[in-house]
Amino acid sequence: MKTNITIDNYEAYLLDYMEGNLSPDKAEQLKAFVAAQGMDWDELTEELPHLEAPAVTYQGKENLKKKGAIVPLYVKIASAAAAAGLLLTVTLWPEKSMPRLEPIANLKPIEVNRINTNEPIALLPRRITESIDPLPRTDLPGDDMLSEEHITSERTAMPLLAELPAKTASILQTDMPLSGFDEPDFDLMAYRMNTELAMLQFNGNGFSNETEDERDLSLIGKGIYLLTDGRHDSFASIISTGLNTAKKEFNLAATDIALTAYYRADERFEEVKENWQDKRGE
Amino acid sequence: MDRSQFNQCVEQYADRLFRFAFSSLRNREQAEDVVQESFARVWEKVKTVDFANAKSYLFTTAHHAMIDEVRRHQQMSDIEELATFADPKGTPYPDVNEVLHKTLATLPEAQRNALLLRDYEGYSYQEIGDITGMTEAQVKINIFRARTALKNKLKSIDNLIDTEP
Repeated sequence: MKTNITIDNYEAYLLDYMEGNLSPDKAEQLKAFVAAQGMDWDELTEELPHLEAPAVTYQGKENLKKKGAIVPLYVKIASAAAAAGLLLTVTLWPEKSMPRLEPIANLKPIEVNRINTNEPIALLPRRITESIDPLPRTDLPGDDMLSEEHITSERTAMPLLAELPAKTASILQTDMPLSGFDEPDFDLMAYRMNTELAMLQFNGNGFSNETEDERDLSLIGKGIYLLTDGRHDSFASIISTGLNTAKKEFNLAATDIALTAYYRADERFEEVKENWQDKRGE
Repeated sequence: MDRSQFNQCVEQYADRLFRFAFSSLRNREQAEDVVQESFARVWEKVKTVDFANAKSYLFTTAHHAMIDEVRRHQQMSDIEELATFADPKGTPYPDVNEVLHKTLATLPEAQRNALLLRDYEGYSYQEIGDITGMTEAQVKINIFRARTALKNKLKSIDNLIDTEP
């Protein structure tokens, strides 16, 4: 009789047996397996102890609760960006090659609900790869993350579209608008962004997809990679290859996404990267 | 979910989250950090987290936060310390539950967390797998091994007591 009980999983069957969840046939197979391994059936199936949950009270509940209205994350990020963006521009932006910059403080606040999702959009990645040199500029910080070698080496490790969760795959196959706004502060933030984690929110039309899964890379990074045939593996990569002409196409939704990803990436980059490597068997 | 539902989650799950974290980490301050971090993360996503899924989302977040805490603080020395009970001669009839929980601290993290989620919170094996990232079979194996370790510890204490003059 064929059995799929092995030395690596027999304990799972033992637990099922002891909880009365094993069929008679399977139980017989399990007993035969245990005997063949020279193990003691009676000892293995002795009654097992269960923990009794202690009564515990967490003292800080009132401090956890929230009072007042919910402040959207993008408003907080926009406020933080206004404060930090100008400093980044002054300290990191190469003076010679960049156009004159407008202070981010002059920007209107991001109001995602006002995005006109009916606007005609182009499949941005195709236009980018057709008109722009894919090799990244070398005069910006963090270029080791965006070298041709890095992109090439990452290409084979990326999952196929068919391997992604169905909902994720369906999103990536739509004409999802990628967006930003032509502000150098945003460019710098996006450039520095590690695309390990992102959250898609289209609050205007109620569509949302959350991917805070520590074993998953950002939807944007995957989408960009797949839609550009592996020539770019991150939103930052696209930005860094000179996206000035495409900026006009950008809407505000992906600005929200990129900034959210930027802040989250700092928090969770190492964890997500490590878990992704574990998943790949590295 | 809205603010009211979030506060409801605090009321319903903060104690249980703290119990889970404290039983695993054996450090009150770190457990409190885990609870605060978990609710903070849920609050960041409050508009996209369904109230019906909030509990599992909280426990999944807490599990990740606990792993971070362990890596940051490298608690092996604490666990080894907890593993050495008082001499049974001093307490010849130790409380069983106390023995079990002290032994729990010596178990590998995966076994400990799986068992806590099963016995404390009553999660199914599939749900525990979703929270911890294990397959259902791995969850069962870890729980079987955890219970076996607890059983063996109780047997060893019983044997010691039986041999007492």
